[in-house]
Parts: sequence; C-alpha cells; structure tokens
Amino acid sequence: MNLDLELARQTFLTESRDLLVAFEDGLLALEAAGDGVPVDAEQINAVFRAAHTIKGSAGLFGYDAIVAFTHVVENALDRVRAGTLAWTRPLGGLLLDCRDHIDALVACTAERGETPDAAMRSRDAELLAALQQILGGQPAAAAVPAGVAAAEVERCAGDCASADTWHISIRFGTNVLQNGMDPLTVLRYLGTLGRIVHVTTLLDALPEPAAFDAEHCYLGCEIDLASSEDRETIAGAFEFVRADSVVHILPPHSRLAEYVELIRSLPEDDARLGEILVAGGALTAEELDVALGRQAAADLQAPGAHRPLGELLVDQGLVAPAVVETALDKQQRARDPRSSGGEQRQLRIRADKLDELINRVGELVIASAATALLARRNKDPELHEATAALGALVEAIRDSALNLRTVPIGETFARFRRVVHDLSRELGKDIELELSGEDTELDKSVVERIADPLTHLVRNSLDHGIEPAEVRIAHGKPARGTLRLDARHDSGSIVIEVSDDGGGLNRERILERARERGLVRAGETPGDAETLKLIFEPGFSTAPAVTSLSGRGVGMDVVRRAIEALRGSIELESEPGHGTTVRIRLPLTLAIIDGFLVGVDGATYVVPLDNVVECVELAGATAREAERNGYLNLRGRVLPLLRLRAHFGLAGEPPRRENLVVVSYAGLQVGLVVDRLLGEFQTVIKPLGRLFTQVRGFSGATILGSGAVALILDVPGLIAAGQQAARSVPGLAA
Amino acid sequence: MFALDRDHDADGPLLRLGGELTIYHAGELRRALLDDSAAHATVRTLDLSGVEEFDSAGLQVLLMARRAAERAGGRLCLRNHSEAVREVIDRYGLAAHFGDPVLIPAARADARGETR
Amino acid sequence: MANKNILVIDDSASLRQVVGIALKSAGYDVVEAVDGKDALGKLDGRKFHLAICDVNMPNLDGIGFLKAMRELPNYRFTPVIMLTTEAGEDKKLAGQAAGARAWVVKPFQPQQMLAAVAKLALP
Repeated sequence: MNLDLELARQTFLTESRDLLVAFEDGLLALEAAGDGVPVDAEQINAVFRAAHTIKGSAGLFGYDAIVAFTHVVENALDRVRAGTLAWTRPLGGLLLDCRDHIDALVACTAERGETPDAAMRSRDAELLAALQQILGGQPAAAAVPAGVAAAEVERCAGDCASADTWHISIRFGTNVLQNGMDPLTVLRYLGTLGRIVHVTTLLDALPEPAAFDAEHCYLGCEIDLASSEDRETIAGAFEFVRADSVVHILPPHSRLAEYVELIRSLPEDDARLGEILVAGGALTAEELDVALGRQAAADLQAPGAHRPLGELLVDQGLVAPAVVETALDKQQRARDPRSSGGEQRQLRIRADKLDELINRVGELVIASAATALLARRNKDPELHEATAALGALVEAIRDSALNLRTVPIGETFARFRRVVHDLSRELGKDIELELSGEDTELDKSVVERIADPLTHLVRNSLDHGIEPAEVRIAHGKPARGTLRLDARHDSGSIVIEVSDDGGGLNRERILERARERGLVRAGETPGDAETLKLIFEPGFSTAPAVTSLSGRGVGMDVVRRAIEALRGSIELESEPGHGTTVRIRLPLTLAIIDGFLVGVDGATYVVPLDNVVECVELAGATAREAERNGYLNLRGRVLPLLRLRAHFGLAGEPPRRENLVVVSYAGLQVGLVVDRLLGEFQTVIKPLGRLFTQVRGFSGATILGSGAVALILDVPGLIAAGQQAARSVPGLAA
Repeated sequence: MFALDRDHDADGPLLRLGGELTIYHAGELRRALLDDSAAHATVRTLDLSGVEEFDSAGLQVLLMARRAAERAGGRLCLRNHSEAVREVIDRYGLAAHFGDPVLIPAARADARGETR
Repeated sequence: MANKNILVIDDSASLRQVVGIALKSAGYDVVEAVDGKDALGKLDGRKFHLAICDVNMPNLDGIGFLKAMRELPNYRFTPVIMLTTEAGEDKKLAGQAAGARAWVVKPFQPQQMLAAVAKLALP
C-alpha cells in the first residue's frame, strides 16, 4: 500500500497512544477530585477531546470497531461535560476500563490489522452494556451506517415526462456568497456528475441599484442535467447551499403533475417557467400543455377542495437512505494488512536517554581507536585484523546512533511563519516567507541551538532588510517583500541560508559606522567582503531608527558567536537594491568527528578530518621558501601559512623537518605548520570547560587512547588568523 | 488585486477592468460602475481582457451596471472577455443575455442582441 | 494553472496526514495547522481556496477561528468545511450563527471528504 498512508497509520498509532495517556491522566485527576465536586471543565473537556479525536481519526482509516466503541464513550463524556450526567467514582472506573479497551482495540485493529476476536467482542459488549446502564435510555446507535440505498423506484408510465434529464430548480439564498459558497462552485460540481444540458439563469431577484448589495446573491437557476447518478448524489451537490436556498429536484420521467407543482411553487411567472422547462428540454411543448390543461381541469372539478400538497409534492426533502459508497469504502483499508508487522513501529525515547547512548558510543569510539593504536604498535597481524573489524562495526554503530538524533529542520523553519506574520504586521510591511529544504536533517542538539540565531537573522531581515512598500514600489520592486529560508547538505556540513529581497547592505554606512567605532582606521578602505564582515563586529548596528525588534543591543556579533560556538561559520552576500543573503554553515553533529592528529612541541592536537585537504612535508626548497615568505606557492596557488608553534606561543625548537597540513573552510585555505603528522583518529568532542571559552583557536577537547587530553583545533578561527597574517605579508595583500 | 483604468476609443469612454473581479472587490466595483453616475452615463464599453478571476459577485455587478446603463438610455458593451469571464458567463448560460460578441462573430451577435 | 490551496486545521496529526494525502492525490496543495491559533498564523496573505476546520480544538476552536477569519479582509469569504460530531449539535448552532454552512461529520472516509471539497473547490 501507499507509503504515505503507512506513515499516517504510524502517526495514528503514536497519536492514539498519546491521547489515551491524556485520557487516563484526565480521568485520574477527576477521580482525585472526588465525588460530588463540580467537574473541572478543562479537565473533562480534555478527556472528551481525546475520545473525540481518536474516533475521528479511526474513522478516517476505517477502523470501525474503534469508532463504534469510542462513539459511546464520547457520548457519555459529552453528557458529563454538559452536566446531564453526574461524575461518580464508579463511572470513572468504568471509563478507565473503556480506555484500556480502546487501547486494546487500537493494538488489534490498527497495529496488527486483525479483526477483534470473540473475547474482545464480548468485552466490548460488556462495557457498552455497563455504559448504557449509566447513560440509561436507548442502546447506542451504531455509528457506522449499515443501510443500503434503495433503487430509485420506477415511477410510472403514461403521465410522465419523456425527457431523460433531471430538472433542478434553485433560488440561491442571499447569504451564500458571504458564507463562501459561490453558486458557480455548485454549477461546476454539478458538471462533474453528468452533462449540463441547459441552464437558464433567472435575474428577477436583482433589486434596484440603490438596494443592491454587491456581497448578496440574487441569482436563481433552472438546470437540466443528464446524469446516471442517483438522487442522493445529485441532491448532495446542493448540500452546502441548501440551508439558505430553495432547491427542487425532479428526476427524469417525473410525473407531469410534479412539474406543474414546481411551476406553481416558484415565484416567477408560470408561463415563463413553462417556456424555460420546454427550452431546456425538461418537457416537450405537448407535455406542458397536457400538464397545465389537466391541472386546470382538476381545479375546475373540485374548486373548493385543494388537493393536499404532499400528494403532488416532490419528495426532494426526504432523507434518502445512506450512501452505499460508505459501506463499500470500508473495504479500502488504508494499508495492506501484511505490512502491519512490528518492523516499522515507532518508538519514542526520552532525549536524555539518547544523549546517554551517544555519549557511550563516543567512549566506545575512543576505546576502539585506542585498541587499534595498540594493535598497530604490537605488530600482531591477527590482533590488527580483529581490531579493524571491530573498528568498522563501531563506526557503523556510531553512524546509526547519531542518525537516531537527527531531525528535519522543517519544524524550526515552520515556526518562522508566525514570526514573519506577526513582525510584518507590527512593522506594517507585507512580507512573504518562502521555505525550502525543510527535509534537511541535522543533529537535534544543533537544531535546538540554531533557532535563536536564526530568529535574530530573520528579524534583522524583516526590520532592516526589506524596505517599506512605498520604497519598494518606487524602486520598481513588488510591494510584497520575500524572505527565504533554505537548508541543504554540503560536504559534511549543513548550509542554512536566510535571504531577503530587500535593499541590501549599505557599504558606505557600514564604513562610516565602523570608522566611528574605531573598527577601521580613518585612511583605510577595506575591500567589499571585508566591509560586509564588519557588521559581525561587537557593538555594530547601522539601523537609523532603533526599533523594538532588532535594536535591543543584540547585534550580528552575537549571532556570529552563537554560530561559532556550534563550530559553524557565517558569511554574508549583499547586492545593493537586490537583497542580502546570510549563509550559515554548520557541522552535522556536535558529538563526534573524524580527526587528524598532529604533534607540536610534544603535545597532540586534533584537526577535524573534514577540513584537511592534504599533508605536505616541508623540506628542502619548499621549507626555505616557507621560512622566507610566510606563504607557499602550492601548485601555482598562494597558500598563507600559520606556524602553530608560534601561534600558540610554544617554546622550544622546531624539528629539522616540519610538516604542513593544508586545511580549508568555506572556500578559504591555510597551511598549518606542525612538527609531526600522527594519522587519523576518531574523536569524541568534549566541550571545553567554562574556563576555556575565551581561548581562541580551539573548539573542544578529546581524550586520546593513551588517556592524554588533546585539544581540537578550531579550523575556521585558524583560517581567519592565517588570512589576517597573510595580509601583513608584503606583496600578498589581496 | 483589482484594477480599473479609464480610457478612450472610437466609441467614447471605456473602462478597462483587470485582476480579481470577485466578491472581495465587489464593493469597489459597485462604487466604480454604479454609484459613479457620471461613469454609467458616459461609459459605453467595459474591456474585460485583464480579468483574471471572476465570480458570481463580479457577474452580478456587471449585470447591474448594464441595467443602469439601459435605464439611462444607453447600452453598456462588454468586450474582450477573458477566459475567466467566459467560463462564468457560459456556466450561467448568460451569453445570449449579454448579447455581446463573446465567441460568436460580432455581426451575428449584434443581430441576436437586437432580437431579444 | 497552480493547484488550489487548502488549509487543513485539526489537532489530530493522523487526520491531517490522511486528509492531506487524499487532497494531494486529488491535485490540491495542502497547508496544515494544529489548531485555530496556528491556523490564523497561516493566513499570511496567501490565497486559500478552502479551509477544512475541526470544531473541537485546544487553544482556539473552530468557531473562534471562523469568526476571526471572517474579520480578515483577505479571507472574509473563504469557504470553510467544519468537521463535527453527531454529539456537537450545540456547536453546530454556534457555527451556523458564525456563517458555517458546510459540515462534514466525523468520522468520515477520505472519499467523503474529497466529495465535500469538490462541492466548494474543484481541483
């Protein structure tokens, strides 16, 4: 069966379990309050709603056993809610039993795809009987219609119209348009039930111009429809306008007398209506004459005694038997019973349990890596093979475990609909939010921590980015602004973009402000990218007016820090007049990385493997070039160098042969000069203590197999430092 | 959105209606076509080529505008019916009532208009 | 032409899912909301050809939503199908007073919902 429906069935299972918990909690709270105490309205309403929702959803899936039983429970709860049934302890107890039975019915029909067995059915009957005793009165009506529509009775011969069409006469109610029911939709729907042979629209009800209300409906139609549908279906077309409108339906070959009655009952002129019936093919001219003549004759014969209306009246007002379709549809179950085994069951787990598991897996990864190191050192081929196999398994477990904790970013994105809605109203701007990439998955811990920075970026775009409508129109842009949120995976990271089609950043104002704040010296004019980056500096804000939204002293620097704390980076593109895009790049998970170990001055550091491009031995001419210039010509490209020994202020002499690790991040590269290359190693990131939050250049720490602590290098930070250093090298400034 | 542009052609002043001629804008449309007496006394033609959405409320205002023009001794022609307008007029079987060239060649439509 | 857009408002996720599947397979676009309050947030200017709204919901119920929606200039005349139960006659009166005319009684089958929807907005 359909995969989506299977997913929906899983949702139903989870949802009904949750609702049954709510049901139980509510009942227990009511019980605790005791007998005779007025029932807490919110409490009983919650219980009622739980039953109501289970019934409604179960019906959608065709779980009739659940529907039928829950229906009675819902009735009882409704009466308690309405105050016509007193809340008592025995009733509470019975309802708790009912809850357990609904639970069993859900497990049986929805989860296992079985029909209730004899024992379950007798339990069903027992509980219903007990409920009935409390409810009193009539036994509950079955909630599922079981009737089968009777066939249209063949009407008659001789006195009947010869036309094979339905004739429908409708005068739409004044309110239908205001209630959202346009007569056109009725006509369109009718067109799907057969062929509309003829429509005459009556405009007689249109008033004088002064009395005309443009939102009122004054239309009426005489319709001739060729259709093989039954009366129920055709009458159904008028289901939603019937309350306000006058509808007459004459089936094909109705008695001539019925047409007469119709003509008489309508407000318009009889002769004209007769013409309309003939024009539409409902009656032939002869039939009309016969009908009118006979009616006149009947009136003459018994002028005083009016024939009862009902004798002639169309029975269009009678409720016809229930649709057969309903009974048949039950067969089309929402799923294939064979697929209802337990393999796709959903299990909900507390987040902290999952975190604990991930933590343990982290330790396992480290232990496994340590074992592999030992095996290598001992040069025992069998042990080496065994640890390799173990390592592969551990890696698989690591991936599965991390996968458990990934969630799509869609939910976070969806929250912004409201934010955008409220803020645009507050700002008096018309702004549309477009979302894409909602299915992109990332670690739950990242999702949780990205919401705030994202909110700030969204607010910024709405407040400062998108211009007021008048400004937009003056610039030839659509009055309605657009804010776009997008997410996607990109080589080991997730990229989230917040973009607007606003005015873009004003470079001059940024520079002006930066000079004011002393961020840029008077004579200097940084490049374009550098200028834009200035807005991420602490205390920077270019908004001319401090609004309640973004002017609370929270600047882009806070956003940048939050993103960097997630081992991410942030960049910005802005085109004057066309808008701004902020791009956030984040690691997929915060917990575990593949690391590359390097040694500097006796200590070991970890470089995230995702960032490592290549390793180069610094020897001979290359080493001298590096020493002399502070940068390296690597295959025709200039590579700025960063000597970790000097950067971290480590004492001691470098070894004769140093090594170079080329790292890259967000399109920029730097060569890190280290003492030794120690190889790959899986690493669990332990957050640096509070004490170290101010330390630049490290993003975390890990414990090595030997038990020693190694610091994890913060590659984005180092690249920034490397680029900075390169600018101070003469001849390398961009 | 609902748009209304005043224009002129050989037959005199004309109004171009565009966008949504629906219940959401029926009030505005009514004011433009009915309440503005100068408009229905002089405007001879409504150009409907720009109408993107049309519903029963829009139709009713056009019917009323025609009636007002007739009362004032004139005739209001609808022309260049957009697809949306045609669909509605056809559903209601009102093409003959309007008598304007909808799908039929202009000469014949005029003849039909006269006979009614 | 773009698909017609339908707003489905119900606190039951599985109901939204099944109704959503049925509507999408019939050629509509669907936006979901979990209650009346959430639904009001989705009325952000985009066009909805129809709203399907449960009566009994937490936060803001269906009738409250309908009333609030009828105040919004862009949604004053949006057709609404209300979902109700046989037990909810009193609510039905309140709903009718608020202008609700289309009712579908829970529980319903997807086909029944599609038929009701077609009466107000063909795909």
